[in-house]
Formats: sequence, structure tokens, C-alpha cells
Amino acid sequence: MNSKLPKNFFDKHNLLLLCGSGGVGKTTISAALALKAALMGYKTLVLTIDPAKRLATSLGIGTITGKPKRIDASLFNKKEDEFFLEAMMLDPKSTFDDLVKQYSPSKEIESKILNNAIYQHLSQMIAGSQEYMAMEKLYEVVSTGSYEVVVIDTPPATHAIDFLEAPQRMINALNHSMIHLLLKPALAIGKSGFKLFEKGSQVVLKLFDRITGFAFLQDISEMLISFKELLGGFTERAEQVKVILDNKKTAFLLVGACEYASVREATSFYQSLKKLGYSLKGILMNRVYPDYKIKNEARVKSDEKLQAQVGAPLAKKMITVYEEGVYMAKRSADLMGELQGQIQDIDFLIQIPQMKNDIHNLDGLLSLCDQI
Amino acid sequence: MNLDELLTKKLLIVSGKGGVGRTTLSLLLALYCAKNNKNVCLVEMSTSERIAPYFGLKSLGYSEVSLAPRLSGIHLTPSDCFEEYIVRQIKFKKLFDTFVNNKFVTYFLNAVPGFNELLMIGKIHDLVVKRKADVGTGPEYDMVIVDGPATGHGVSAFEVPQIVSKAVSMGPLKSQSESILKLIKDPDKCVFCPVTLGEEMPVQECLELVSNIKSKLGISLGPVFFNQFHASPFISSEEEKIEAGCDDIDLGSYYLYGNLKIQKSRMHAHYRDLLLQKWSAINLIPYRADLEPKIESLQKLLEEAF
Repeated sequence: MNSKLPKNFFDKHNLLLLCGSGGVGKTTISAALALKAALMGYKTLVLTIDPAKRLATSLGIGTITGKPKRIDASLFNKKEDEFFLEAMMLDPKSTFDDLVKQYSPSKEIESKILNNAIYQHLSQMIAGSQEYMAMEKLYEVVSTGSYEVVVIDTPPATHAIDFLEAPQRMINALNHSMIHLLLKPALAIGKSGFKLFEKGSQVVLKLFDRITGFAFLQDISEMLISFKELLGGFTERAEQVKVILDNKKTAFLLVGACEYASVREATSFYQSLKKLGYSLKGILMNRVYPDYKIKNEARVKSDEKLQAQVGAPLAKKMITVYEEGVYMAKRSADLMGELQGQIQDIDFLIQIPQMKNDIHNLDGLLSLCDQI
Repeated sequence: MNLDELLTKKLLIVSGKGGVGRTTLSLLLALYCAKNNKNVCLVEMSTSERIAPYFGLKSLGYSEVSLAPRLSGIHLTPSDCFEEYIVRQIKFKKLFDTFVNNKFVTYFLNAVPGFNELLMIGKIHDLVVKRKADVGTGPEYDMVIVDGPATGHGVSAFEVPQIVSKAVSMGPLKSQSESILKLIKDPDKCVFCPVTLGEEMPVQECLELVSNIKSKLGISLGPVFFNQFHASPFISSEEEKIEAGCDDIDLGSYYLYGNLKIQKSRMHAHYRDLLLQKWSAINLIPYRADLEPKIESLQKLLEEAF
């Protein structure tokens, strides 16, 4: 197992999917990986969900939107023709709107959905829609064929595997034919019209009416039924994305922070991926505490020497801080050991040391590049 | 808002970006309130059970479990809330089992955006107003503390009652969302407690969250919590010395760890000051290297923090 990114990694893998739960530094590491590829001369795109403003600003792309934005080569002392890096942000709401426009069989259906009250306010809350949108964008950028390396920063989720499972769940939920069969009548009728329909439908509709209220039911029905028209497109696209994910050149990477929870997550992500027929290529473990431990036999002497140099009061404080640091480093090392014991057949496990500061400028990003 | 004032509220909603320590803070607040003689119900809304392990349990489940003196806990799942709500709406459990409790309904539940969130917040509302079993003896809980879902830039769960109330003109969901809104908008009863870490993204999101809950939701802001705050143990002349470094190889380690501490605490001080420009008081929860997912470990932190 390598402790750095293998040299020919970007030749073997041109689509990198970075998964991991929220708050582990996934977005920054995605940016660093993309920058590394670009600095090595690959035409690169990074698709991100939630870029840190200061980092985006320092890359000169303070207002990145749903369109790819080219990063200025001169920032990295490169010529225009030897450095190509674009960044793009995922805006789930506008992507969803675009999809509705693209897949609607008619203008009528398109405006029916876009003007639906439930859709307008709550489309982002359709379970799995963010992940679906990310996959949709993934397909879009990969199929343009204009990049040699694409780095995808997946939406923050409780579980890393959500990115792969959520889109299908969304399609299933929208697709279930029973819903359409049963809800269709709700559109056509007023409250008194239930008797027009067959018994089964009648009972369920009455139940839903009592659960949700009629107006809400009608809005939901309208949205779900209009959505049915788009499902062909949705499902077909999900299939196409699956082909891309199955490709040998696609690499799943996991980003974690060096904590108990991350080690547990890494193991479960690794197994879930296997079940889905994919394999984990590498792990980037962030915030590993650096080990500066002094040898035990030298400690007493060193402590005395420190006291002589800075005086007892300061030495006492420094020793406390030192011991806390050693404790943290040991914990990091134990966690990494545990992880290595559980996961062996991956290409690399990179430990990224705890940084002194946020990474919010080019120097910080470049030093992170060196670490991976 | 100080912590004494917090004790007068009925409902505390703990919120923040993923990974900032919402569960830790919810637990700290719950322990603090229970210590101050309040009967507390701690509510978990996330999909994974994070509270149970602190008490040596596998899961909390949907019935209110006693965790410590004056402290109960419950884990809300959409499907449990759904069943309870529906059985109440249609009055007959049997009808629910026959017609509603099947695969079709599960799909329906997942397809209706915001429905899960509304039902879960509805359950929280019920816990707040719940009375003791003996008639006339007052509320079951003095306080309900919610370990809320992570915030993102999308719609947050607590916006849903507002949206549904606007989108629906009548019916049970309308009245459900209206009574929820009445509770969560009442500044005497309900406050939002944002948590953040001393890093750019969580702080940014905390600022956004706060302006959103005020302007969009009308929920009052409670105390703001800064989790894992590193305070520098050094005075400035000492910091200068450490930053100047030393040539003696034997002592390098003390200086390296010392510098790491100084940088970290400086960064935290920077974000604390940034937050203090917005609010007059921030509650700092000190960083503890040896914090473990055990209630005893949290008790120690509680004594230091509040």
C-alpha cells in the first residue's frame, strides 16, 4: 500500500469520486487533488458542492456558478497552454430545473412542474435529489470528453455510500406505479368526487385526504404524476452513469478525519462499495496529528534542559502542551493502525497531517498538494 | 443569552454544519438542564443513533427511555412518526396496518418532499406539550432538547412547517404546521442554539444559519456555542519565545507542539472575535484531548464548560 498517490495514478484513473461524511475536509482535498493533476499537465475539472469562499476567492473564482470557470495559470507561474484547471459548482436547484426542462415531453408539463407549489419550495428535499443532481452533472462533464481528469466532490452526507445509493432511491420513490395509479384520481376530482372511483382507490384517497388535506394531496399528486413523464429520462441517465462508474478508470476515494467515527465509516464504506461491485482505490486521512515524541530515556534530560533554557513556569506549560501533543499523535497512530488492519487491498492510504491553519490560500493548497 | 435564561425555555434546537459536534452539545445541554432540576427529554433526529452509545445502549428507539436522573431520550425515525401520526388521524390502528403500512406507502413517504421533516417536528411539538399521565400534574417534560439535523445551504428541516403552512390552505397538515409554528416562533418557549468549530466553513455556515433563522423562520436565537475551543496557555511574551524557536535539537519537539498550539489558538481567537462582532456573547466549550464518547467524560467537560 502506498503512502502517496501513485505516480501514474492519473493515467490509470481519469474520474475521481471523493466520498466522506461532512466536516472532514473533502472539498479542500478535492481541490488539492485537482490542482495536482493540473500541475502535472492534465486537463482537469473539479466539480464541487460547497467551496470555501476564501479558497475560491484566492483562486480568482470568487463567484463560481454552475458553469466551469478556468483558473488563471499565472497564479501558479505556468503558461496558459501548460496549465488547464476548471472549477464548477453544483447548484442542485438550478440543475433540477434544467432537468425538468430537458426531459419534459411538452412545454405544458414543464411549466406544470416548475410552477407547482410543492416543487418550488421543496424540490431540494426530495430524498436523494442532491446526489442525483451530482450524478447528472458528472455525466454531463464526463460525456463532453473535454477533460483528461475529473474530480468530483460528492455532497456531504451522513454516510459516504449515500452518493451511490440515493439516486436510485429517488427514482424508485418517484417511479412507484402504485402512487400514480392511486393518486391520479385526486387530480381530477373535487372533494365530493371520491365515489366516482373504484373502492380501493377510494379508501386510500380518503385516507390520504385525512392525513394531508385535500389541497396538499392535489399538489403532491400533480407533481408526482408530472414527474412520471420525466422518469424515462431519469432512469436512462442513471443507467448511463452506472456505465461510467463501472469503468475501470473510475476511482472511488474516501476522505476521513482521523477520529474514531472516520475509521468506522471507512470500514463500512469499503464493505458497502464491495457489495455494490465497486472497489475502493484509496483513503485520504485528514488531520493526522504529527508525532514529535522524544525518546523515553531522553525525556528527563530534555525536560531539565528546557527548564534551564526558558525557566520553570514556561517549561511547565510547554511540557503540558507537549504531552497533549504526544497523546494526540499516539491516538492518530493507533487509529491508522486499526484502519490498516481492516483494509488492505487498496492502492494507497495517505495521511495528511493536522495543519496549523485553515487552507484558504494558494500556498496552503500547494502544500496540501505536496502531501498527497 | 446566558445559560440561566436558557433554563426558562421549553424547546432548544441544536443546529450546525455536519461534524461540528451537535450531539456533544445536545448532551452537554441536556446534562446541564437536568442538573438544574429540569425534567429533560433529549431528541435525536439523525439517521444514525449517536446518543445511545454514550449511555452504553445500542439504540434509543422510539419510546422515551430513561437515561439518567431527570433525563430521557428518544430517537425519531420518519416511519415511526408517520405511523403514530396516521393512526391518530384515522383513529384505527387496524386500518393503518391494512391499508397504509405497506411498501406503497413507504414509497409515497419518500416521494413527498418535506413530509418526513414535518412529521418529525410534529412529534417534537407533541413531546413539548405532553402532559404527565396523572391528570392535572403538569407537563411530562420541562424541556425538550433536539439534536437537530445538519444544516446545509439547502432547505433546513425547520423551514418545512413554514413552507407547508404557506403551500397548503386547509386540512390536517395545515393545522399541524400552524401549531408547530406557533410553538417554534414563540421566543419565550423555543430557541435555536447554533454550534460551530473554529474553522472557516462552519463559521461561515453558522453566520448564514443565524441570519436565515431570524429572517426566514422567525425562530429566536439562543446562545451560540463554539466547540473545541483551544485557548493558548501562554502569555504573549512566552508565545514570542516559542515562535522564535530554538537551535537545540533535543528541545525541538516542545517547540513544534508549542507552535501548533499557538497557531490553533490564534485561529480560534480570530473566529471567536469574528463571531463576537455579531453577538455579544459566545459560549466557548474548551477542547479536551481526552474526550471519549462516554457520559462520565462529558460530565467532566460540563464542569469546565458551563
